[in-house]
Amino acid sequence: MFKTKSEKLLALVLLITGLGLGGFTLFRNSDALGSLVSGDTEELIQSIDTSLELQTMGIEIREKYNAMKKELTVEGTDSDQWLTIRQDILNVFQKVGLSNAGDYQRITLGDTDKSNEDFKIMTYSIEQIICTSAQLGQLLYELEKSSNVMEIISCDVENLFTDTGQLGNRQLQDRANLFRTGLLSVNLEIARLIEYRAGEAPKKRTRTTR
Amino acid sequence: MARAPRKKAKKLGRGKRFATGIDIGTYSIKIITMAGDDAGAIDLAKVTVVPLVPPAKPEEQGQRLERQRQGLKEALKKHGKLMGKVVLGFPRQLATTRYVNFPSSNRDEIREMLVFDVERHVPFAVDELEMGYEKIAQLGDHETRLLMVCAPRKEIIPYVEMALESGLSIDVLDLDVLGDCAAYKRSLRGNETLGIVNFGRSSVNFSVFQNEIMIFSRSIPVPETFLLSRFPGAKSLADLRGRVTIHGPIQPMEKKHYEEWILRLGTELKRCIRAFECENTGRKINRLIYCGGAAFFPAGPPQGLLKYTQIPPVVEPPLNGELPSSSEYRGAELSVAAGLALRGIYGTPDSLNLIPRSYVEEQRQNQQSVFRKNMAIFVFMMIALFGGTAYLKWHLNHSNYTQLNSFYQNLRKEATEINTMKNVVKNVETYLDKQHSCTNVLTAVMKILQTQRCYVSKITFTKGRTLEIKGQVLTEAVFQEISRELNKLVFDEVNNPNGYFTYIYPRSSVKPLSLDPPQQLTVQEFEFTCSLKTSDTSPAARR
Repeated sequence: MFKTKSEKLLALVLLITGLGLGGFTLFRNSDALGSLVSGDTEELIQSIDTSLELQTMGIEIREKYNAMKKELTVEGTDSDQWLTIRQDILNVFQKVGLSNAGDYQRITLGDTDKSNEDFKIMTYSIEQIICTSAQLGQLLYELEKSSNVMEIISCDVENLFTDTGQLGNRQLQDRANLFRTGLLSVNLEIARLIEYRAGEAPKKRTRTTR
Repeated sequence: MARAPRKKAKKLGRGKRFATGIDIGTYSIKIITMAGDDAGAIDLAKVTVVPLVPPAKPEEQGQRLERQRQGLKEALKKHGKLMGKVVLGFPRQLATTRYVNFPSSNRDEIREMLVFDVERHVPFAVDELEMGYEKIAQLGDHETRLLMVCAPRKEIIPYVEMALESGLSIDVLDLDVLGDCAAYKRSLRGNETLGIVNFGRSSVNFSVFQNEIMIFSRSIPVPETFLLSRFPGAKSLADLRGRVTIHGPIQPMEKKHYEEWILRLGTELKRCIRAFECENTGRKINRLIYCGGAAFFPAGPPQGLLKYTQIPPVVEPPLNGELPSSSEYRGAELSVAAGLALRGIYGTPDSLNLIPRSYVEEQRQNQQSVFRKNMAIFVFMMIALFGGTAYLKWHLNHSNYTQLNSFYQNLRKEATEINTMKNVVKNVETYLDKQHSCTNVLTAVMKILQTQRCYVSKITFTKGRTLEIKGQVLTEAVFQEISRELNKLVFDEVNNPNGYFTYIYPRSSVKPLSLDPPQQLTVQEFEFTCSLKTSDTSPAARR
């Protein structure tokens, strides 16, 4: 085909140039080609990075979730659950030194809200808790801070001493003397989150703006 | 090494054109490129002479052709670019020539007649021959005198193949004796008849021309090799220097052989001259020029031949002295190549050309076929290379992707689980909005109130709505101080992002203190209504 030396040289140069250019072009575009056939590796790596970051945070989330789950789960029927919660509250009261008769008037169960998809909210009221300000602080702390699933939605604190330092009730006067401090009358309304029992959860609704 | 001064090209007139003549001899390959113009001025561009490797022993035709092929390649390489029309010489001894008159002046008719006429002159079938003609003279309107030349195709093909294999593209295949005549055409003196004897290694060509037309030619089968065979060690006529004088060889044995060569050659020359005189009644050869190998006779033209030819010979360079001898070659040995180049420059459509067109076309088609095949192979190779590379790259990417994807799927399961947990935790925390819890708000407020001399009668906290504080202070200044401190708990996106209130509505009034026994003492009764801040997504906020 190529008779003379210059023709052979030209053909060789063309061949090498062609191969070089072809190889260069191919390798420059091969990533795109590979992605086209195999999917977007870059996107996958990004997803893996995100997942790995989430996994790192996962330990903390898992611990938090487990603690929350433990508190959220209350076995039994509604009345069983109420009894359990009531006992928990009584335990808190005992802890802050309000276990005597007359320290509070009554604990009543309020409405149950099932609007949330993940949990229901049981509300209950504790009326006329007679306590000192220190006891009130501890009580609020125990109810809200020590629990992951409880909140105080209303707190009504009344100073039992009048502006002139009078205290009407003699029994209360004795207690005031005992603590050497003022006394407060507190009404609390507390919300407690509880996980749905099987089949209790409301059907999932499509998310709409309120 | 100092560079040799470049030969200054002769300035030619209008119609300057180039041609290259190639003479493939048995002793050497000669290539001459020259330019000529319409006025007949010529300029030698390049001359290349490459001696062939002498054979160690008597050789077959195939071996000779192989030697010539190697020599031709070397000569072409040495000569460089072949300019203009390329004319290759074909040996006279392999061709048959006849002078004939045809009753036509039409080229096509002449060619047709040639086909019918040629069988009368040669013992070959027409399809085994390659034939051509050289127009000698136009005899009236309907008669032409021609030099008919034909040669067996099997003798021509090796020369054409040799050229093709050497990468040489020839335009004209011409007779070497016609080259001789063209070369010495410029040496003609008036209307003289000139005889040319070209001493070749394998044969001696004798030709006669007059008025620039060759009128007789014959090949004499008395080669130089016959003479050299009895001179041990001599490879060319030049090697006879010191062994042959003007009177002949010195050694008796060599002398006897030399005389035998003279006898044979002289007899043949005499026979040729007589034949010429018979064919051309009344014409005499005026001059006899020895060329070719004769240029190397150590003591000039062999005087012994004069006895047979009766014409004093001269060894003369061709082109009327424009091709003088040099250190590399003798002018006379280049007569054929120079003449062929001249015929290339000044040739006409009626000039002889023995190239077998059908064979060349066949070869061209074969070459095209090979070229297409090679291109197809090349394209296939490129596709295979690209395809292979693409596949490898894809395979690498795919396996990487598969591994990563498998790893990701495992991670994803775990991530989905964590996300579910995260959502539950987030949902609970959002609902509870612990940042704005009752404990936090009351703690912050009580810290302020404890530092002031005040009486607090009532605090009502409703999450996400309001905090109402009622009480008494003795002076307006204390009320303002409390108000100022509470305002520090108002949310500000830049200065106080952790604030609990959105705004505070303070009220105060003076009231007499009802003491027993009654005293003229008044107090400032105050009431703060603080609107509580909530996180934007908390249920309280939605409420």
